[in-house]
Amino acid sequence: MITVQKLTKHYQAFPGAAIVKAVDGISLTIETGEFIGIMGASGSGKTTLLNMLAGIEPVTSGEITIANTDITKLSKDKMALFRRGKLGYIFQDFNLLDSLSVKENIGLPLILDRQHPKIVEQKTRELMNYLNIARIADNAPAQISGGQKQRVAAARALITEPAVIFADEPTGNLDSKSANDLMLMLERLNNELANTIVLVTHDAFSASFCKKIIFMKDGRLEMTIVSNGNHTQFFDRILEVQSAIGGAKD
Amino acid sequence: MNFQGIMKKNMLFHARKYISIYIVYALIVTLLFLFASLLYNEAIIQTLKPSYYQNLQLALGMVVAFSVLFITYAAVSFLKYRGQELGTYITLGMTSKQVIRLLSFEQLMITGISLATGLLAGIVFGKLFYLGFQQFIRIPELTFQLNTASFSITIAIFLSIMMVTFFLSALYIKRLALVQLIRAKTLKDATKGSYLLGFISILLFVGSLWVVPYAMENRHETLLKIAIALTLLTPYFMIGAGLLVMKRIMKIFPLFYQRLMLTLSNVTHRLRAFQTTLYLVMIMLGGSIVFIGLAYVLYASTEEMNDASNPASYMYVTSKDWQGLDEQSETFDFVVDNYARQIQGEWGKPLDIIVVSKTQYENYMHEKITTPALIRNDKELKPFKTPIKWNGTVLKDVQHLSRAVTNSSLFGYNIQEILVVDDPSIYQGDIFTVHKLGHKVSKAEALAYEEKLKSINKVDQIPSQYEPASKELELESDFQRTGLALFIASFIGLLFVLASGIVLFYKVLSDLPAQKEYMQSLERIGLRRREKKQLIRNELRILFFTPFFLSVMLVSYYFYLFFHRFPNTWDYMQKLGLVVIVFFVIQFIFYSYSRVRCEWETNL
Repeated sequence: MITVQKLTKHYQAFPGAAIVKAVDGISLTIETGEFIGIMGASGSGKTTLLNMLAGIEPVTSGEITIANTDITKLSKDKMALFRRGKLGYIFQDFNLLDSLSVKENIGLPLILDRQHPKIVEQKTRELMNYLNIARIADNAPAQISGGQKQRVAAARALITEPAVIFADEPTGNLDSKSANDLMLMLERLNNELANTIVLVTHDAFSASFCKKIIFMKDGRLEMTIVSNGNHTQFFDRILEVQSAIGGAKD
Repeated sequence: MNFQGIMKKNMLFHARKYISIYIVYALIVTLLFLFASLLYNEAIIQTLKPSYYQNLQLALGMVVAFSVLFITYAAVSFLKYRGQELGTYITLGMTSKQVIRLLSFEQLMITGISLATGLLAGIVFGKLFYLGFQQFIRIPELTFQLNTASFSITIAIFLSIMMVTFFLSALYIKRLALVQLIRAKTLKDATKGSYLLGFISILLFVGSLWVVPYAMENRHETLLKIAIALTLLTPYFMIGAGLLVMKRIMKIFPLFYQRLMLTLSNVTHRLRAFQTTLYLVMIMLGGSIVFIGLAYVLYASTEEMNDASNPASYMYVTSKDWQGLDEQSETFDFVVDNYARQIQGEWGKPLDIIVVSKTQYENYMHEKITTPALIRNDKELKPFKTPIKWNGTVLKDVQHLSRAVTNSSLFGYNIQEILVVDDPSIYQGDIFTVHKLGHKVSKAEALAYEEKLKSINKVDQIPSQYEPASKELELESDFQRTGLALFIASFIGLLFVLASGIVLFYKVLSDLPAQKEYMQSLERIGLRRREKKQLIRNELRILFFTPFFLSVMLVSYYFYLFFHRFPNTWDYMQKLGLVVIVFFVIQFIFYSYSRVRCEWETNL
């Protein structure tokens, strides 16, 4: 379970400049096994919120508790270890290392954790089979398609069996078919493996795969909607809310 | 705000990045100035032998050549490092001409400041430099003099180099397309190495190492040249293949591989760029160690070699045409005859040789020998035991000996080998007599004896074959020769080291943008600060120490080959070891500086 208490993130470009409140006192709870989408217009603070939840960005104030640990109190190095072991992150730009093969990219978090090669090999193999990317195991990232890259990124996010998977615009760099495949895959992960997934997107179609959507505006939570299980109806509902709060265009 | 304002602001913004360039340029100016001041120093012009002075001029030529190469290299690398920034200017509508103007302003400032600082450093450290030079060359009247010529020549050379550099930079800017400029910052040199090429080059390298001593021993000049060239060229391919093979082997041991996976993958991913840099640095460091190592061995062994090649304090030769001193001396007679040596089954051209009778030799050297004997007139070098022919007859059962019989410069340096035969009838025609004075002859006495010989024989100039051989005077000349060699070698060696440091430093600098991105990616995956530091250090260690160890291995091999005929081989190898330690320290300093810079730039 993730608990967020009065979370804020303020920026100041230079001393004397006006303070920008990117996230302004957000409190929320995300239950284990939930598939949540965060939506909002550009500058609404959705990516900042996700980055703070993932411990990539320091908070100005507030608390974030994941798996009974207040991550805002962790040092940079402890946060790195926590992120490596407990959190998975899927980036819009895939964040794959060009110098490593697909298999090595996926196994990297375990390798950094000094896990035994046999365990790394076994878990990597299982995930590659599950995500249908086993045949490109020895390819370099430069040799595979965008959709495959994102599946590799997803496999890497899953390899440590994290408490939560964060995804920042995971379909942003994909064509519509690859985007659909990826969202189906995330949905499957959520349903079959009960992974908690927190996703930031501005794309209503991708968001329609989530079970719950949180809408943000000016750094605050504006509205929450819950899916009834029907993608089409949920998609329409998202579009309605977007046009109501002004987040349809990015 | 106008364009001039932007240029000034840009210069100030990049001031920190320019510091390394400024230090290199200023150092080069100082070196040029100090070297030029030596060339125009009156004491040196008057005292130094013309051939030694020419060496000094040649060395300045080499200093200039290296300055051109490396100032250009540093400038172009710095441009590449700023590629994205320049690309942005052009995207915003700045013309190439304006970019060049911007750069020319920066260049002008850096040239002016470097020139001023370099010259000032030259003036300040000049006395210290001459004090060091004096230790090597031993010219008593040598003092540091400021003269217009050294200033003018330094300014002229440096400004010319800067103009060439600026011209090349402008050409680089004009020829590069916008997209290349923007991408210049990120690494696009991902390449695949070739195992086959690597395997072939390893075979050739190992084969050449085996062939070199064989070709030396058997005097196969062409084979020797080819083998040496191969030992120098094949490491280029071996470095690449070596890294690939290392990665492949490591994969057999996954536990080890996982620990080094990120470093090895990153290096092999950009193999060609690494390969070229590592090879270039290896050659420069190797050249530098050879230069300084050889010169240091020669310099440090000057007295020892003087002792070995001058058994007497004073010697001279007399004949029926040339009278000697009225001093008691030990003597032996010799004649000049010719002999031929068999090499690779073929008889060489007949050469002059000194022939002495067995009785005379034994009386003079106070030792019994069996004849015929071929004496290598040098205690230092082991003789070549190839067959010889004298007076048309192949000599059988020749005894090969190494003995210092006469001072090396006696008889115009012509007594290199002495043939001793049990045949008193050799003394016909022109007979020469070697005289060895029993007491120690100082430099002043030697000069007085020289004057005496001239006066006895009524000549103004002593013919070269009758030049007396004074050990003290020879030592002074030896020190000038080896001291100058060491000085020049140190100078050129320092430039080589500096150049290799620049190559490595700019490699690190131009890799920084990609390195930052790479580190950010790893940070997002969960890499800790310590692990990121370790990763950077591993990569830098490969970059800085692989070429160092390769060059040390190659240099040690050649050094041993060169000196293994000398009885003091181990002593020479130890001296080389000292030079290697100094180089290691220098390399470590370069490594540490680059590491700190890299960690700082990647926010570690």
